[in-house]
Amino acid sequence: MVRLIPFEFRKHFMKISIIAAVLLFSALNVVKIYSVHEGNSLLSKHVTGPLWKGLYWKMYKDFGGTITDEKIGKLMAIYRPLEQQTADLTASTTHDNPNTYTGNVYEDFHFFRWCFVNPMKYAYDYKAYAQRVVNAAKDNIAFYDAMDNPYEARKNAAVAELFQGRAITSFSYTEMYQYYVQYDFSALLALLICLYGLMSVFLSEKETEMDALLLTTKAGGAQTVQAKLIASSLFICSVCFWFWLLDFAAFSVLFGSWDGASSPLYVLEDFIHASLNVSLGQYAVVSALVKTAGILVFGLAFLLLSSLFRNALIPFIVGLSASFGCIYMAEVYMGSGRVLLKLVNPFVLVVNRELFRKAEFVALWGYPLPSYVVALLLSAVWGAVFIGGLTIAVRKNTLRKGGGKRVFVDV
Amino acid sequence: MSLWMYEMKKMFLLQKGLLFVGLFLVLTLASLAILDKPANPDIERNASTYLFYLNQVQGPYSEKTERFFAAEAAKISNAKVALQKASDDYYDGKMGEKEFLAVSAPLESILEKEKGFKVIYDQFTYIRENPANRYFLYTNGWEGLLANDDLDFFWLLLLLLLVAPVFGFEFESKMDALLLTVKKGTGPHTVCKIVLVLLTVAVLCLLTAGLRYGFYRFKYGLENGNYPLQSLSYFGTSTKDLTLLEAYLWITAGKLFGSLCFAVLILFVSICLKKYAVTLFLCSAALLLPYYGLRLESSKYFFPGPLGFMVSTGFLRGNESKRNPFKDQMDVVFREVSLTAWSVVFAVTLCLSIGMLIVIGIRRTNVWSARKPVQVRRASRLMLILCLAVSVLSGCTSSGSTGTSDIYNCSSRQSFENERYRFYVDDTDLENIRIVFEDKNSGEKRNFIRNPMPSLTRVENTIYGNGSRVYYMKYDFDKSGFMEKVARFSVIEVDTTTFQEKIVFEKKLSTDKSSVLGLVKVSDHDASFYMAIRSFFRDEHSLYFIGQNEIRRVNRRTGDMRVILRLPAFTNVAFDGRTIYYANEKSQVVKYDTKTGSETVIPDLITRNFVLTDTELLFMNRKDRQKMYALRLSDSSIRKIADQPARG
Repeated sequence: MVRLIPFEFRKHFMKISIIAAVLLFSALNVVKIYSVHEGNSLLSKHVTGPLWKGLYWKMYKDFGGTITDEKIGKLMAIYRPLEQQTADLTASTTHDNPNTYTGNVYEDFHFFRWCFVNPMKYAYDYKAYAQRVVNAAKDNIAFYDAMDNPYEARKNAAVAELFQGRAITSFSYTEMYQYYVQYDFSALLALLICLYGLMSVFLSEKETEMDALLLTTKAGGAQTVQAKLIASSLFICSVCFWFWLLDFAAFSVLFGSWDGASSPLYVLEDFIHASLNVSLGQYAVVSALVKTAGILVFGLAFLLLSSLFRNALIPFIVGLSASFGCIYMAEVYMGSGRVLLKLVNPFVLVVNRELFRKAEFVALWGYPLPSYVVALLLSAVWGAVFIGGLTIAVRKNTLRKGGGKRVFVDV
Repeated sequence: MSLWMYEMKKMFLLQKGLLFVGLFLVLTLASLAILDKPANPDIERNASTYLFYLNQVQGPYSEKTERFFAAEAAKISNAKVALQKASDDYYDGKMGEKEFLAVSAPLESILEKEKGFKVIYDQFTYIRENPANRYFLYTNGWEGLLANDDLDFFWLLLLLLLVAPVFGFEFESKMDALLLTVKKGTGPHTVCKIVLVLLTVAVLCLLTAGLRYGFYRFKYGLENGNYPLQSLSYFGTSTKDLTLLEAYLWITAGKLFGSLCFAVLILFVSICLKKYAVTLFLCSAALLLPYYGLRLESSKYFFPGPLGFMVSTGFLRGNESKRNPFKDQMDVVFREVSLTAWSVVFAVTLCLSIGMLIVIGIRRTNVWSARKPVQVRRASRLMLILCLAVSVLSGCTSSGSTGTSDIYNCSSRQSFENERYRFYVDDTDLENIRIVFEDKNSGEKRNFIRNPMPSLTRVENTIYGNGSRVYYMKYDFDKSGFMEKVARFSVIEVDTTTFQEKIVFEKKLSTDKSSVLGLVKVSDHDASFYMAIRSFFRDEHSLYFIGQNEIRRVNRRTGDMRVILRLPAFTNVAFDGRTIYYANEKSQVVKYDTKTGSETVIPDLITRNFVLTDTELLFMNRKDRQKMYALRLSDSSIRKIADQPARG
């Protein structure tokens, strides 16, 4: 069977059309990431003008790295006067003020506020905030124990443990990660390529009527199906990893920084309650793996669909509709507190910031399970259902019995 | 059987085209019937009064209209003051009942129209910005029909299902080569197929457009089609000199052209690549990726291809911009497509479509290819098609219901008491105002909100309680960009025996399109209402939200929202599980039955300040110098409680 896998892979996926689609979609992906940068980054000339980028990196030399009282004092010595000058909105609006960094006092104020003061303040305050969360959770443990609510007590114990010792000690440029974790377009591209690529896995043999002939060969039954499944999984993983790598590389290059990879995930303000104590670099890897798992589930669904029909028309349309249906439901429940409804949708693995941005739990026999574990388990169930359906649906070289007219020899 | 009939039979019966068309029509009608919500729900909620004013100002703006609005605004504010004065005089004994009724009746009829006036006044402020091409009209019908650029996903799927098999079916069954050898198997057959596809697409496109027109005409009415397009705020900045009806016809023509081009693209790709999967993949990607991938909404209109035409409302929109928060400038969010740009895009798309039709014709001749196509040629052909596609792209249940209900008083919305605890808003520390609860036995005070992670959440200082269940509401925020944005509104139920929380109602409030593909849309009107909720209460099936001068009922399951009551400012509201009590403009207390929707005025009870208890309605009697009285609910008897006038 091991020799069958590369054969199946070559047969179904080493096609010019797929390679061309991957290359063209990759180009499109980079263009999209460029547009994300141009439309959102505080250092993009479209958002804030041409001066901020140069000034930022100049100032970053002074303020980047470990947060110290000296750096904070130096920053506030610049920021406080700006705050006072702009507070009553009566300062000059001219753009040629020689005593400013950008030529305008308001722009100076915005620059320091958004680029340095706000993120540094968040980082500095985080340790105290995390400690407050731990204290509140510990208080809750005692409270819920008194209320005879062991599930909530355990949940709060998990929260206390998660937040214990959290602190952000250094200031780094994390804007790249801020938008990288929100980026979904590459997932749509990977999903479309998988939908296309996987259509032919079972259908190509049906179209040429080789499926009946294959059943007569030694490795033509279950072994071929297994080889197809493994080859398909390899294909999905290759496409996904290619796109996730491309995302990471394009974001890093376009945002112009590799900094921040060692900062903790909760350095992103949207991830203030992150459910994992990992660094941004580690999160990029975890997120890529979980996204791939999500696309794998969709891939299995596409394979099952294609095995049910004789040509690609209906399976493709149904697969596309189902994908959009799942995306729609994921959007409906994005940020929802109804955790289980959110997790039952396998697309949540693809948009996995929903799983990691907040510590959420699902009760299982009175014990709190982190939402990402439940999402992975539920997706594994979906995957098993699809594989089960596939094994039932594929043609077998056995005599099917079940009454007069239904008996036929499937060779 | 003629070739035409046979092809039709194949397309609609053998390939189940008729079934797909039927399914498409059913889904389209169902989505229109279920998902369509009025663009401005306030118009529908105040239809009669809004139409009363609209009938007087309908049409272009004039100085007379300006005077009318100024006079009407003054009339309403004077009526408010006069009614208050008349009520005060009457309750102070300075005016007789007959005289009061004679004075108050016309004033009340003026004030009844206040909300409708506010809606049309908003329209007036919009029209006043540019009176030359903005007219007064009823906008919900036309807005529903024209003011969106949503890609019809069902239409896209139907086109793929109908058109892809036209040639693909023969390639799949290897009939294509055989067909080329018969007399009519080449030119006439190909022409027949293409014409049939184009005709089918055209008829279905026009039918869909007609259905939508009919739906909006039936549901809202589409009068005043001769008014300028700019009368709708969606097209407010457009420089196109069109009427609403002309715009609809242009948009329909655009959709027809786009759909025909898309059908030709499907035919072309299916002829060139001869496989279903790659045809469907390329064609769907050619529409979906630029639609969801482009940063600027207007970009898709500047690139040749079917997509821009299939959502052609954008060709008629004007420049739109938003304020840059960092610099003193406006950033373009939609760039108007000029007539020249439109002509170029149209001409290029038309040429591409004709080119594709020519290639289809050439490829369906029976000139035998002398040599086997080498891999390089196949690859280059594929690349050509992919590039073509990419050029288009790169353009690119109430568990706690016990049958009885605790009394709710809006005036005491910040506190509630049950057998074991007292819940209230603790504002002793102004920097940390919070909801707390106090154990009645031990006197111990604790935080009511037990969430240990309070950041990115805002809990409102209002509670509703019913027995052991206490409810609070909160807003969740996300900070995916540099600004914090509200994402969701929730009402949480706390079972105070175990303090287990449960979400009883949720509403997504995020109106930006950034989440994944932006398929779920939230109405700005709804979002602004949820952001302005003052208090709430609930029964078994619904939640009642007290907003600005109104109470709305929201069905917990369907999310359907209706205004059930209009309230004067500074009035109290009470609820006993079935009946809502509130004081109207004349300071009379009115009972509203939530089951039947009927309203009853409690006679001889004049107050603005009252409190409902289980058995009585305590009130400050306006007719007796604000002395405290009680109305027994069982027999409506009134008794005086205190002889001293109440203060505050």
